[in-house]
Amino acid sequence: MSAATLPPPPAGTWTSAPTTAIRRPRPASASGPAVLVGRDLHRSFGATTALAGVTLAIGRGEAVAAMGPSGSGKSTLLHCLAGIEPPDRGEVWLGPDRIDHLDERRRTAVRRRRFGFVFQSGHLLPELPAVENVALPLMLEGHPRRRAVAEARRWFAPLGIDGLEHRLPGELSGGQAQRVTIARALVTTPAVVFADEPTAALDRTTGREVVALLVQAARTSGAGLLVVTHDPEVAEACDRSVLLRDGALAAPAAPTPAGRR
Amino acid sequence: MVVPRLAALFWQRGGARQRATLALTAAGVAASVVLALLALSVGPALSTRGDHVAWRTAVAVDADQATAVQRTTADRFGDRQITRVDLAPTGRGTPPVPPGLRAFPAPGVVWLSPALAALVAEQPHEVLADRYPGEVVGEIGPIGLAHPDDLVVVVGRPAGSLASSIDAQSRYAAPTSDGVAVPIAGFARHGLTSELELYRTLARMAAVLLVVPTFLLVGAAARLTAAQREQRLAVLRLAGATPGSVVGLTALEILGAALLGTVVGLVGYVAAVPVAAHVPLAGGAFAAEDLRLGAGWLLATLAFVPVAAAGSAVAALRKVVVGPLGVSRAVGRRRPSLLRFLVVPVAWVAFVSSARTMRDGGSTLGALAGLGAVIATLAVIGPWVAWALGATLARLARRPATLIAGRRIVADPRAAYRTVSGMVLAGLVAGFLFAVVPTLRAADLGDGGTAEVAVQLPQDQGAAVRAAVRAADPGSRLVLSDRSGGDPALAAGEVQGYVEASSPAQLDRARTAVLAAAPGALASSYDNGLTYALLLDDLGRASVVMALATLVMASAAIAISTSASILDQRTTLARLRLVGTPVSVLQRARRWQTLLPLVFASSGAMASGVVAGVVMLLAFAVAPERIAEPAVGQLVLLALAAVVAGALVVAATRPLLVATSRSSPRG
Repeated sequence: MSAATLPPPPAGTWTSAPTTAIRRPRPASASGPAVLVGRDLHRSFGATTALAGVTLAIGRGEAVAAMGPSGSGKSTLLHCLAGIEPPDRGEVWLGPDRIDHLDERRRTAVRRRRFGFVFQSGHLLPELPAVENVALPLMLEGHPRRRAVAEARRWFAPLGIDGLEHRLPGELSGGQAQRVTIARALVTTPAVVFADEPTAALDRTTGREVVALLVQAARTSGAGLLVVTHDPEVAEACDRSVLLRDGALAAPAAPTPAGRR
Repeated sequence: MVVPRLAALFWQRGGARQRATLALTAAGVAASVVLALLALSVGPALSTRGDHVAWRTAVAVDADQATAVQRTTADRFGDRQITRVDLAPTGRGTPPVPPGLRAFPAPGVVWLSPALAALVAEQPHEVLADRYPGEVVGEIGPIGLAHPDDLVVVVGRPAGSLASSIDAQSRYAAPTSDGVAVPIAGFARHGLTSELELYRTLARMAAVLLVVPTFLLVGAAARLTAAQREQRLAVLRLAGATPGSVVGLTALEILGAALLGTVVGLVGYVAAVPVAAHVPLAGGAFAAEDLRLGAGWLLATLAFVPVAAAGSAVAALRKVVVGPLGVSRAVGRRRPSLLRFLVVPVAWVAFVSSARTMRDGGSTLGALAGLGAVIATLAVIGPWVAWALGATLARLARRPATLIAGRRIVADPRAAYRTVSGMVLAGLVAGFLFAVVPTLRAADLGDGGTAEVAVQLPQDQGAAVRAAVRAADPGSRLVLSDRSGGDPALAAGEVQGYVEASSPAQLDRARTAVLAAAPGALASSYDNGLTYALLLDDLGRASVVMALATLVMASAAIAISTSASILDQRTTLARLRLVGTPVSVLQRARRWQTLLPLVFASSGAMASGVVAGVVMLLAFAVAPERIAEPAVGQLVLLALAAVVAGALVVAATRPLLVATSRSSPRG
């Protein structure tokens, strides 16, 4: 993204959307061309096999939930697809670009420019007000501060956190902090948003609201979404789910062929 | 019993990382203890030295009670000072035995200090040995010497040979003045010359200035351990541990590490003393046993330092103690109050008035306390300065690194200041020294290299001495006043004058010729310039040692503080890396966060140091117009060195930042 190009502004207000209204299961083929494809991914930690040949594709605007028991390899799959750690074997394609073999510096740049992240907690800089936390990825990309902050501010109303722009993370509730994180994940209009247990630290109602917002916001901005979760309600909010067991897909999803080389 | 059991469990299960952190804490404490004790040793060692030389300053008694007459003269060879003590019995009672001698010197015998004996042996007799006519019967023992290199000679004179000036002395205003014969009945065992007193005052000030950064280092080391434990202790609180047991657990762990560090430090100090004793001060090295502090000091250190370290760590953990969620809840912005600035005029008024009191003969301790108060103001206003800098940086920031740095400083200005407080103190010390030393150097306090010596001799020996001087060196001449008597310092038949020579080396020969030709003559060359040259050399050396020591300690404190802050923020840093923030941005933010307060606060401290130095000079009765400009160039260089050291330290913690921010993104 160049410094002159800002992402399109978010449209509408999503906070009032009921969780049930946004659950629109679609077949994988309806998600359009795959924006991210992991093919035959293997990853081991010593004697422990975390991934044993997983193949997964995420379409543009598609929300995919990765479920499975603890230790099944969900988070490792997210890390490999997001370029946080390279797989031992296999390939990760972001559109036409293979990203698994890039060095750390380039993978960092890919994460910053093309991906958004939402985690369980500890994701906001405690010293920065909410709006500056959201503006940070834009500033990291070279946007002038004033413009970055103005752009960040536009995400607050749609996410239902209007008026909290100048609060510090420590002054926000868990749900409010997650909404700020969603804004930060989407402010750069990423190709894919990765969410690792985004509702684990929230109560059930807040969790449902947050995941609804996340799915809708990602869909509206055209980003693919991969959510790692234990929570069936979260999975239900997504377009489809994949189940991992012992590092392999128990119910493999069909990879989206389009967009691959 | 719960706390010790928990502590034992964590120690057992803590693994290598915990032990490494505790070892680091212990090492920081040990280094601080060594440096602080060495700094504190100098004052008492100078007092001991004062006691060793007290006997040379005659204690006058009534002439009818005197058993001996003492005349102490400042002699000189090249640029080295020689103390000459002439002693003659009065014939009444038993004369006292000078310290370091086995007996009162009989007429015609000479006692030399070992260093002077060696010097006499290596020089031709007409250059030095002929000044001391008589038989060398022994060497002066250490108890009568300031240091092993002390040049001292005691000359035994016949009864009555020094009596000529007794009456004159009784009329003379300064009974202990150089070259004045004084009736005595004993020798002082305790005391301090004015030079040593000045040295001791300066040493005490240096100790104050050095001890503070060492305790900052102890505090930083303790906080590092606390930072690592914060998360674990918060979990303990969530699990139901009481604030008391959390405090107890932390205190116990740090107490253990600090106790170990203190013991290692004490052993290190004892081992370092013989090495440190070799550093010359006030003309010579110390005897190791003089430099060694008493058992009381060591026991006090053993009791105080671990408690102070534990206190510092407990203070760092107060967030955890307040509530189980303490660590997960970032505190709001706490802007330090402007009221803090009220302490500044109070402290300066206290300092200036105590310095004035010292000038008028009051205690130096009062002035030192005033200086301490000025130092303490830095700690009070420092956080506000850090906050103001952080707020300005955050407001003006255009890039992420400066924005993060500014916001971080604003979020915890006390921590931001604490990180650089050692450097601030170093700035104050440097400002003080570099304000004082140029004035001392510029002061015209003596004739320095002028080749002249004052003489006083019986008038009837004038012609013989004049001839002897000319024979020793044709370029030298004796000039005598044509009037005899009249001067209250002169005995009947004595005349004053001076010897001029073409060079200091020739002057040494001429002086020797005077004393060889007229053994009863006085050839005094007490030289303020020489004494001050020595003082300036020492001050220069001490400035370098202190600047280096404070710089090293301050750098270590910055390293420890920045490491602790990285550990504190490890989760956030890992997340930031994960979402694509380059390490370079995080590192740049850390650099700004450290260097901005460092540059401004250190410069302010330097300026305060300069002003404090000028106040001290005025207190020592230096006229305002004689106060030289501070060594601005050197101060700028030192400031640059501090910035470079700070930048290097931040750079050195980069691997920790990389490793910490790479840690597991789970959670």
